[in-house]
Amino acid sequence: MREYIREQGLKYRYFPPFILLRVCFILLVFAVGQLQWLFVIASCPFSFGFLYDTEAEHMLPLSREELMGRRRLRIGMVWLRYLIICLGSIAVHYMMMKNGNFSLDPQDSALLRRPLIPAFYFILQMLLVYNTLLNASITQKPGKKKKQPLAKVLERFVTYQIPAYIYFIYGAGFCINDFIYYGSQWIHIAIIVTATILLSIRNIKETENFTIPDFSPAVQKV
Amino acid sequence: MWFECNKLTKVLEGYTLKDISFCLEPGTVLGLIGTNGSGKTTLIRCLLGSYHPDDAKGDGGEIILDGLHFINDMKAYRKSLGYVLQSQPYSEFMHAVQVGEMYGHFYDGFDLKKYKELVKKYEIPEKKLLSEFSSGQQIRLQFAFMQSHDAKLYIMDEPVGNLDVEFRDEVYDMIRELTAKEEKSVILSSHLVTELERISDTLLWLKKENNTGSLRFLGSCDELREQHRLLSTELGKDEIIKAGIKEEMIAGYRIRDSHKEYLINLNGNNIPAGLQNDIRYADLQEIMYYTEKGEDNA
Repeated sequence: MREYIREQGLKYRYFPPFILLRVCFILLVFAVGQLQWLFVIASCPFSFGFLYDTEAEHMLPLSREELMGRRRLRIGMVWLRYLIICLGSIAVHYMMMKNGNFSLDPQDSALLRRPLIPAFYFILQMLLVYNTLLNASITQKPGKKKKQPLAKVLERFVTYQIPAYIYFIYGAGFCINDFIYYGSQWIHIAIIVTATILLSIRNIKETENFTIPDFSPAVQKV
Repeated sequence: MWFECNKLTKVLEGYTLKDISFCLEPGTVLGLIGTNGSGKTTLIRCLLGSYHPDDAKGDGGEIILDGLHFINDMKAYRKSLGYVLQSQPYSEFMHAVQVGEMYGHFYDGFDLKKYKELVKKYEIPEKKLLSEFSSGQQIRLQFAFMQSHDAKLYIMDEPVGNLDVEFRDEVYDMIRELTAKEEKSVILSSHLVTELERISDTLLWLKKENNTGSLRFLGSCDELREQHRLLSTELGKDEIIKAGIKEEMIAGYRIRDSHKEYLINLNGNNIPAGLQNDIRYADLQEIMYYTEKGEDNA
């Protein structure tokens, strides 16, 4: 952790515009409000630069465990930044709606009427962000993926694509503002929790397969 | 042996480096040669740890440096390495001094003060991002880093191609100095074979066949030269075979109108008496050219 903080400090010292970029990102997440679900997933690829290792980092004189620990810490810290910013954004959005500061009719907001659904949805969101970051760190290679056997493709469909579809459908549903009010809220929660469980299974399996990949020249590091 | 590489195999997408074995004693320079795509950079990446062995993919072999295993003693092994690579290994958004501050402390005995002095000495810009460096400046930066800590084995992947003549001479002097005390060795890959011939004690020549890189030759430059002769003649291939040269001895040839040159791999055989006057020693560049080119009937 000390090493991580030291490296971040060096980045800020030598590249001050970095601070401005981060502040802009935070303000954007706060500003997008209900579109946070879309903005956060869309911005994940811009965070891949924090997760790709340069060739020098691939060759650092560290033990295998230290190298893996370094990469896990990086994933964790990027994810934690997303968590804090998203929670902050939700808190601000909620308070503004309660006070009637938002131009949209606050009474239509799911946060106020059925708060459990957005709460479980937020857990799914953060799991999806984690999975995206974990994937990027494991492959260390942007672009086209290798062709996978059918069993892997099916596994991916069930544990990743179905939860992703559910995520996007409910995200759009919050914006449309009446989709999630049909039927019992527990049915919606059950769907979201199922998606969460499937995605958790994927995350656990990928974490088990977490290893040190070969360096790929087609990466960029921020 | 002080350094051993035993049956190193690395399987990549579309390419395999197969069964590379060689040894080094301290105080030697190993020249790594081969055509583009023969596996020089792949081998260097395996030695440095950029590529990790994965048994499931079919990777194999081991590397041992002064008793340190490249996997079991990964940390200590890597601390004993210094490198200069053809492609810039650091983030493009860093500054020169930042590189030393960021990565130097991982290496035992890294001298940040010496690093900063070398950055100034090699006229490396301190206020520019690495993305704005020329290729020569990027190489010089790596040299500055490499010289700032005490390694046992220095690995250089085509370091001199983009350097001016003055700095290139400085690099060769540096290599001679490093190996003079017989405590350190250098593995140097380069396409400038005439210069490599002058500085290398041993040559490791890789070849590429059907997307597989393997060992073509391992030995000294003198041994390679002794094995080969260049035959300049007006005789055609069939005629020189009739004159006594076995077909398998002809490693490559070039035919231009009436002038013909054949590279003969002696392999323990002698040149027939009738062709002795047309024979001379071939230099490394010619041996490589004819061997890789094979038949050239332009």
